[in-house]
Amino acid sequence: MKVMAVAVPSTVDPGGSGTVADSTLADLRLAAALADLAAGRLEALATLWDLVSDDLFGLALWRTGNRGDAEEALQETFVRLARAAGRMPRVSRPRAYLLAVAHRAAVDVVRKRRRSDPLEHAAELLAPTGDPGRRADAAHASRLLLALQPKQREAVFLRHYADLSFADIGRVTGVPTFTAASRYRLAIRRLRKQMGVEP
Amino acid sequence: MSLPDPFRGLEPTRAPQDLRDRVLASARRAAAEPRPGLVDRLWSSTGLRLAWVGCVLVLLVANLTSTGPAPTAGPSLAPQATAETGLPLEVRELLPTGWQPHRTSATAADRRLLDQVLTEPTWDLS
Repeated sequence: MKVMAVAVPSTVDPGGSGTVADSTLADLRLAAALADLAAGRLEALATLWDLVSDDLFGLALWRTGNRGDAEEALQETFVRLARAAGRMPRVSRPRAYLLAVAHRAAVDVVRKRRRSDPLEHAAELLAPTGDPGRRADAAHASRLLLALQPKQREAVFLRHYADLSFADIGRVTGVPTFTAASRYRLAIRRLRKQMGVEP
Repeated sequence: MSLPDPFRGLEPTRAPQDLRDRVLASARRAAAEPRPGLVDRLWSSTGLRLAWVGCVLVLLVANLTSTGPAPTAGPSLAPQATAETGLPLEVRELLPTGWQPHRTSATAADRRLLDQVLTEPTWDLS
């Protein structure tokens, strides 16, 4: 089987539990699954789901701002991957590639959505423990995030939770690196302002 | 620049696991469907339809704006020689006012010379 080049992340997994080695291993598995899919083996879709569905769903949720659209975008992402099976281009950054597919699917879903459709806002962040204080923090943080523009929210997600560089964020969202960094900084500044940390 | 403190330790919402089977089944179905041909894809593309309508409109507007009254009979493109000088009108307009060709006298001299040559038998080489 052909193994594609894998970009090795330079930092520790922001989730806190993973290490560089874990990240690299996950990326290698991701590259192998994509190579399988490129060879036309649809079983690789299940592996891809296990490896990246949380990231792809998170991106779609932060981009669209509601659960129904995020689920539709995730489904559309896998449909597009399945249709591309057997004729997929060589991918040098598997995670960034998959996130880019999810980004485009999310943008298309939002575009198709009628303005009159009611939105069911979902919590973008959850507390990993059942601590009521942390749950309140999560709800508060989610409310703050909903006040951001979708593009800014997406930049924050990709930087902090998908651990991408600004250059990769630019590639995923189809904008120059400078624009990606600018969106992120504006988002953080706005969050700090909303929290009263920054005037 | 990092996220403010309340964000630390929080995790993004995970993909619902009940979605897994539905998504994978839908993806497999999509892969099994015959792929639409190029013409079908182009026909179903909203962007292409808009581009087509735009092109038609541009052509229509261009046609309407360029169709004016029929051109009036203007000067012929063929050079018109003036009676006095024997020069085309365009050339004559470029010359200074009052200019007269020397050719009239030169032509008379030429004729005289020609008559002389033709009447005198000097050309007989025998």
